[in-house]
Amino acid sequence: MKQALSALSILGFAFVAPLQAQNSDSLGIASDQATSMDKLDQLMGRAQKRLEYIMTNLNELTDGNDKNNNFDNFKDNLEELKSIRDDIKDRVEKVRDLQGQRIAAWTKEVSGMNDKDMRKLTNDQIDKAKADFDALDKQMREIGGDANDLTGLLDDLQKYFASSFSSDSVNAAKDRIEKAKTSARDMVKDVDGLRDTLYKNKKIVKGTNSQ
Amino acid sequence: MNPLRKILLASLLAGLALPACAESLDKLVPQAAEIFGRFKREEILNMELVKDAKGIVIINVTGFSIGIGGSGGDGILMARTEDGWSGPVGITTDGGTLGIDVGGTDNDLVILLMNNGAVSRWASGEHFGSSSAQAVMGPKGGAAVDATMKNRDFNVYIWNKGAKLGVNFGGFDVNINNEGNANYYDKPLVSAKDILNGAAKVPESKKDSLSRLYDLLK
Repeated sequence: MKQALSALSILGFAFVAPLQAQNSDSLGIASDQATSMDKLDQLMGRAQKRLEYIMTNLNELTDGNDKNNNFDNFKDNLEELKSIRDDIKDRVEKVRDLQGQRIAAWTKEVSGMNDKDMRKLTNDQIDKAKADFDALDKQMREIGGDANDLTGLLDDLQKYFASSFSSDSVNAAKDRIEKAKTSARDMVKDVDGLRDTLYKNKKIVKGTNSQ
Repeated sequence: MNPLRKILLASLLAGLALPACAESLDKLVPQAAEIFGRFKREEILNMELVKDAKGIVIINVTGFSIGIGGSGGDGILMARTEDGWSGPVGITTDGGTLGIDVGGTDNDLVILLMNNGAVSRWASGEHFGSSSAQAVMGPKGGAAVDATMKNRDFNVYIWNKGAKLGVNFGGFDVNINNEGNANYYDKPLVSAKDILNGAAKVPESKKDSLSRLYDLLK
């Protein structure tokens, strides 16, 4: 009977160990971080939609089809995009901050562990969590840089058209419009890739990934 | 109840019962890409089944089913053509309980139309009675797809702030968003049929904003 109980307790430990590797402090921060990642994802979705509106505005400007008041819509959409971009920057900082807090709390928890195997398991999990987040952060920084370049291009176009808006000025800016559209198309695609990575990271942070 | 309160209450109920106000396709297409992207990313959708679908409906439905009845939806319908997916047809839905299990909710739906008959029924602006269609929740991403799933009329996917809802599908009308379609295609009398069979082409100026949805559908 004793042997059976002992076997059961080992089996039980094997199942529970990964869940116990993080205790309530770091789990609480993980929950906040996952919520923050959700908000970041929603902001990126809003930015993508706004970029898609802007692409339509630019295309219709180039076509000479201004029946939809495209320049005014372009200006409004660009202002909204810049506002969303600022919110994204703030939210990214929040996610980074929570990552730092979570790792610090988790590391502190390790120092209180007496079991050597448990300590090693938890340290490995912390290393993996850091590596996963570093990969996400690298992608966020790269796309953030491209987003700044794109906003600069769109800002220049907006200033140019504000000073002179006519079919001639639209024609003269065709190359710049084309460059902005290409950049916007790439951005929409890259952000979809970033959101995929963010979603996978959120599952890891929440501990609901099946890997 | 005093007369003023009665009038106010009647106005409120009438307002809630109205069909959804049709949105422009310039906004519905990015909204559809956003909905489909989330369903794909979170593996709610089975992409193997998407490859077999003859048509797709991507729609946001707001429901007020408790005590008031009815729901309103705004979205797009697309069909598979020999050259890939057709352009979008703007549609609205009203009445019924399209995916609404509880009242006052906001649901995103992706409905895979598995045969050409089902596509035609949506394209003709039909009334769907509560038992008029074989519709069940589609299999999740990664699940094995069998002939039953491919042969039924619809596979329905619903998202409601992450909650899993049963399919409650019927008693609603589909309306073609003629004004939205005319503006998008720049053709006053463009028909849903012409859009879905590829006779009405997507204008060049709209292709960039549509490319994300086409990419996601691959």
